[in-house]
Amino acid sequence: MRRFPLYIFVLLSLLTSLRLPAQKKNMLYRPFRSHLQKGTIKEFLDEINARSGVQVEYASASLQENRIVCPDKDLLTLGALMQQVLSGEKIKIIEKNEKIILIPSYSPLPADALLPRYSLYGIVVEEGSREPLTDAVVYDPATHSAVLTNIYGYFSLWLPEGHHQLEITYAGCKPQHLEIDLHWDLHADITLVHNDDIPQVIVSSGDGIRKNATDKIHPDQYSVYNNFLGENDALRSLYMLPGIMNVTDAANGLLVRGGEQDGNLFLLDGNPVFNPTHMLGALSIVNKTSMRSMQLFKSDFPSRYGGRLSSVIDVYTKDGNMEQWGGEANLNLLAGSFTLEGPLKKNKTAVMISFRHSMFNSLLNAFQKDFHNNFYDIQFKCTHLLDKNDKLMLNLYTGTDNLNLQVNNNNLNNRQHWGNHIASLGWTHILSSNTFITTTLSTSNYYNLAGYIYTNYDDSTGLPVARRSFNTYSSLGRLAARSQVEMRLTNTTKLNFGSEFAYTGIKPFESRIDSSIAIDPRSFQSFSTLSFREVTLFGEAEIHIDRKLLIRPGLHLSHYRFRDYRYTSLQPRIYAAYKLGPAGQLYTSYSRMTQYIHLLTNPSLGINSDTWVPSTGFLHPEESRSLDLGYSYKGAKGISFTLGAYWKKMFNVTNYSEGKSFFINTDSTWEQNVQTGKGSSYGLEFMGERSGQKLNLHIAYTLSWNWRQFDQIDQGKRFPFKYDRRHNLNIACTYKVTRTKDISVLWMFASGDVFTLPERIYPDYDNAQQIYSPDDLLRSYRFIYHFSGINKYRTNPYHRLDISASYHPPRKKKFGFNWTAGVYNVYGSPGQYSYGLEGTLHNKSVVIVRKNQLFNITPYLSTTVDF
Amino acid sequence: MNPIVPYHKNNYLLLAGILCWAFLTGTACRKDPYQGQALNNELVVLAEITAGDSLKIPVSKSIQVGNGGIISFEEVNSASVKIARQDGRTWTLKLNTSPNFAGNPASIYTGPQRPHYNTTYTLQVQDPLSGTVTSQTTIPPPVRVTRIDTGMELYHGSPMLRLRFTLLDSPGATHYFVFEAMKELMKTTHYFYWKEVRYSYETTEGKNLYDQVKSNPGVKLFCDTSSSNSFLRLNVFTDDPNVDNAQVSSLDSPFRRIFLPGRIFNGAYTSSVLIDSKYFISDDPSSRGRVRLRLKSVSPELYNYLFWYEKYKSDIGSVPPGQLYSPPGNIQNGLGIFGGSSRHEWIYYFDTLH
Repeated sequence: MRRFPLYIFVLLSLLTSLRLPAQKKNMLYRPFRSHLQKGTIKEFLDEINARSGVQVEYASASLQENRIVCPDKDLLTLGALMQQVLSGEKIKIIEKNEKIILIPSYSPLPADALLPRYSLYGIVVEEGSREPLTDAVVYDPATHSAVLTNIYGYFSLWLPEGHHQLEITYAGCKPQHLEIDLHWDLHADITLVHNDDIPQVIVSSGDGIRKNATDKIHPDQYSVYNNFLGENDALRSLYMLPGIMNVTDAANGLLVRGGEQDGNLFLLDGNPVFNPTHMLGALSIVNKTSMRSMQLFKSDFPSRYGGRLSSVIDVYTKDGNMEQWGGEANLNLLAGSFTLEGPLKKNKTAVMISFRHSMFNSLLNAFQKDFHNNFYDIQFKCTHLLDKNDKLMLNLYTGTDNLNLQVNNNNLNNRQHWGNHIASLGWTHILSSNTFITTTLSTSNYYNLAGYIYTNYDDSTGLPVARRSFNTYSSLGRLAARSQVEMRLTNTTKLNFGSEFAYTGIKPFESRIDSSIAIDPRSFQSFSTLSFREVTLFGEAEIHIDRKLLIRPGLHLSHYRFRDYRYTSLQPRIYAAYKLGPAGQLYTSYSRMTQYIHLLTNPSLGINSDTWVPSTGFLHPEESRSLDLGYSYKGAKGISFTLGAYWKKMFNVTNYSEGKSFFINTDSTWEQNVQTGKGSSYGLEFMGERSGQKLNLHIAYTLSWNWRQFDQIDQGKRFPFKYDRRHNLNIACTYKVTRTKDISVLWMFASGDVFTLPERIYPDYDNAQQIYSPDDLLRSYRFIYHFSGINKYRTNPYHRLDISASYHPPRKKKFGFNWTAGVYNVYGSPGQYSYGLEGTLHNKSVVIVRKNQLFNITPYLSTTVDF
Repeated sequence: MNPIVPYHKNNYLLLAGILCWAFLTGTACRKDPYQGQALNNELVVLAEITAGDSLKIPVSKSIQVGNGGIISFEEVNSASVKIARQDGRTWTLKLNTSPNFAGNPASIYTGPQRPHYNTTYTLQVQDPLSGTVTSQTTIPPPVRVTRIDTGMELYHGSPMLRLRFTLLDSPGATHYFVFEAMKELMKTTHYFYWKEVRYSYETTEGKNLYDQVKSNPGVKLFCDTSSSNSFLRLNVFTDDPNVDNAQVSSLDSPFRRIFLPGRIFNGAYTSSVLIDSKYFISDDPSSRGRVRLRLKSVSPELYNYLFWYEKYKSDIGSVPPGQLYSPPGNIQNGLGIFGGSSRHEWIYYFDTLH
């Protein structure tokens, strides 16, 4: 905490040292027209002194006073006139006390030094749909000034007064040239035309300096690899990136750099989603046909994000076509989906509706007989343009899952029902020529009903001796109001700042223990609502020091209140990138993050038993500090790679206390069932890509370590976290056979997870005292398991091969088709190994290895049509 | 046209691929449980010494699990078991081969000595085959109960004996209390005297002789009741919200023991427990006995062990073995627990023992 004042001082010093356009709007901006068409420099300066009201002082020797100059006729300001009159002179200008002082300089006056600067601003959209284009480049070749559009297509570019020819480019669109005469701030919305003639090329940050270490995923990027049984899931693209792991198959979760599932903030159009998955995490809730863009932050967290330790996944969906009706439909083994979008009022109001429903179980069960799942999701979005500067967006989402899973001859039976309901109302407003503001009111609700039957068999008789059903119901609701301002001070400096207020209520532990699966949560043991409030302020500056160096310091300040417990967190963030040459650059970042909610996963259940709980005076907020250092190379011939190292330290990470029951939680005892400890992770990441006309190759490798340490576990010793996977390798390849056909191969390899099993048994304590329990159903289990350590064993590695082939014939009239056929898990690799013990007194003790897999070798066929 | 790749370059690529594969699979740190690892069987002590009670130390050995072997605990009959008092006095315990301990999974070492309150004892068990283990415990001060009240009542539809008591805890120190209820199974034997010689009525010969001489004056059948050293655990319940059992299961569940941490009170504390009366009376002669209700003050390590043992027994049928939590012991170089206790006991006779 002692370093925060220093950090704030440095941040403020940097900001105050910037020369802002507003500071220059003094004497040089004054309107002035010269009566002279031609004359000496002295004559022009004398005229300025006589008529403009501004005094220009100079030493005669510092100028070529008698040089004859002939400025343009249509110059409107004093600055524009002086720029042309003094062009080429080796002078500098100081404005002081209503005077302009010319002093000698070693270098000539820069070409735009005295020109007033104005802002060109607006929205870049795609022709035909008027969908905003993110990361379109607006470039002025004359001044070498360029800016990127934000997620809403907004840009603001400072240019000197005068005539400009701009280039606007965006991947997949024809470059646009725009000529402007700039004599004041100018609002110009720009429309780019989609280019069907050029192949789809994914352009990331171009040759410019990396503005962040973020991975931006375009809907079509990695699309051939993220196909899951024919369903194209953009979230699965993330597994192609280094540092990202998934909880294999039958569980929910994305694991980022040593974090847990709860460390990922998933935002759908800016609204947090607490479980963004269907089918136990096999699919995300993002329907590809409605997605516009996705960004993953795992190291250099912009200050506007907070509340999670590991990553931010920011997904934006389409606004809806403002000009014509169109859509896309998809049918495959898992689900059928469609997206329909079009104008309610042309160029004024558009809607987008997207619907997806799982296919009939009978089709799926041909390949996986134990798995019975159905899900659906619906998204509705309405966008209304109030005027050129204002836009309203209404966003509604609902989705649910029902799942039954039977494993091992009905020995284990899971039933789950979970879903999200989300709504938000957003307003974007161009406040001034260089200021863009977004305001959002949102609500996000999540519930999860999980039931689990555990049957224990007596080995000697083979008969069940105990059968218990554990049922939990947890629910969560969040209301938030958020406002964020983007202010472009100069072409090299941008400010982002804003605030958020959020209220969250959680009912985490409603439960019921029964002999069969319970369905109605109203019959569960009730639990009072745990509610908390968060107030957040954030701000950051993106500063291009020069063409080689970019820094982005930021600060995220949040205040948390749960009952009487209050916590304030100051989280400094900084990112810097340095361009070493035309192809290579170094980047580094440091982030502090705080997380106020904890996700508890029942150690007894291998199912989605998500339960969120708030931080309390006993259960402190989770915090992390992470450091990232990397090198990126983008060379000729489509070869690029990044190599990075990271180190992360985590505090107050949670663990469901060993031996504590998930089901026995009362208002006063639930905190005692959770323990907090420390965690650390570090590793190396490599990602290489080669893009060509025929062959595309992608390799991602992660070498990582992941540790946890709890006072109450294993005598406080550090132990490997359950997802401590040493190696992760993804190799993907696409070969374009013809213009309309391509084939793809994906191979994934991951080291096994660690797990705990007892090593020894010894006699039961009561039995050694000759005490016997007449009602004990498990009288044959008269021994105590002894564990010598946590997570001492490692499962087999996981690896999987997927192949697919696509055929996308040329469009016929309004319709474009895409056919994909493939095989998921070609050689039937198990998704997950689980190890258990079986044995009773006087019988043999053996280790049971179960090979769990959600899907074995599964062929699929998928078709997509867009219109 | 595809470039021609020299043959040796292909070989290098193949070699690099094989090396990469070997590196990944070889260093993935796979470690199968138990395979190729023979673990030593460790000495196990499961002992509670009680102030005023004779010494009894069960000693056993652990066995490795998961290796396919038969689960059967080995007796430890060659051990030297010694208990040293804090004043340096040492007692050597002897292996007790009484038939009363025949079914015990541990070998029982006993001694006639009776430990004292507020005294620290050190245990040492030496076995030529399994090494030496040590442990230490301190017996707490006496349990002081100032008031008791008993009565039968229906609790959750079952008849139960409610025991209400007021416990006095000495201020300034934290003590740990455990309540348990057991039925001590009793053996009833019959005998008679004939010509000043005692004969057992339990044998066929004795019974025949008794039938012949029973009409003689002075011949009378006597009854002798003795402990079988076997106990039936009686389920106990409580409605006291301060007990630690709330962390094990919901309070309407049956428990083996009730755990009352002294940290919640300092001075007098009134609590109540309910004892399931299902086994108070038995028609089966082999299940007859007397009911012992024990309120113990136990050493912290024994409290901790018994608490987690309670949790373990509650979970063992419900969760996979890999997610159970072993009770934490205090035996150096071995496994198990060596704890001390003092107790206040109520004995009730519901069966007719003759």
